[in-house]
Amino acid sequence: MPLRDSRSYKVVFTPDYVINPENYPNIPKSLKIYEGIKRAGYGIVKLPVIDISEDQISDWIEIAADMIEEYQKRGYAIALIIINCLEDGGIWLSKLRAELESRKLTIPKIVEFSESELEEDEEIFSKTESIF
Amino acid sequence: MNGVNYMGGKAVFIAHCILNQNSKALGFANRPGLIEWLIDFLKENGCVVEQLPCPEMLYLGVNRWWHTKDQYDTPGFRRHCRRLARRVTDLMEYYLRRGFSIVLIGVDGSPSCGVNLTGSNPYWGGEPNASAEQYQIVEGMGVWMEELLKEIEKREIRRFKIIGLAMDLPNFNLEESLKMLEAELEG
Repeated sequence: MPLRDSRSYKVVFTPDYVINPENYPNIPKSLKIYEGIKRAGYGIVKLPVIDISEDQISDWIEIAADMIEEYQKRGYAIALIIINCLEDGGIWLSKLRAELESRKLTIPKIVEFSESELEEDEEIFSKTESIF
Repeated sequence: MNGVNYMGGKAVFIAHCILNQNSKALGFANRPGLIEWLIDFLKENGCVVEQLPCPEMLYLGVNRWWHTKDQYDTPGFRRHCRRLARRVTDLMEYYLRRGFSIVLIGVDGSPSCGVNLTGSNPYWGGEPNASAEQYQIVEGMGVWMEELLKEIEKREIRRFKIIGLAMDLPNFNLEESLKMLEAELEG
């Protein structure tokens, strides 16, 4: 088996919207943030679709926080992407932040996109490329 | 609040590392970030994409040694997988209630995410001096896929299909895989 490792050591935690904009009828159906992440070579940890039940949300927050804790411990670069027209950024940011704070972890860099930015190719590409 | 557009179609649940190569055991990340051709293909074909959690990384971390299925085949790891499987199948039911059908894509050759092929060596263990050549690719399913399928069957989830892609194996053929995927997604 060939041995190689091309990982970037850079991971972004994103809302469902970034991969599945068709799930959100009231905002632009744009995959441009995904395209920007792809070009920049970051890994994606996508949070689930936003309107799941409260008990499910807490488990997904725990999973995301476990990954953030592990990546931080190993020196990976981590950022959270949020969409400001989605409730709580589309990633249950207040709950995720509370979970990270309860573990005394550093809050990763938060990169916010506004609705008006979602279809601006160059702006999105330059913003995603300069996350880390 | 923006809600989900209930339009039907396919919800494709993919192995975690397809979107995040930084979760792989060291030595096995083929790309810096994600498997572009597969995500692009799924989006061009109108699929909703959900990402499975990576049970290996959550259990043993990102600096884990290589493992075979034999090593992951423990009550503790299976219990961990079952807990994750309950959350994933909740999410599958969310999409089923909205008229979607479900497709699950695993990574053939993986000790946890293999669908048709997994990795075995009953002698691995102890001093970590194994070579990659000792990792034997054998027919069978990885531990995570086995536990996830058990939960899917328990909940009697219909409109469901499972696909294994051997993207980490040396004989992987992209063109053939795309043809197979196209046929599977049409069916």
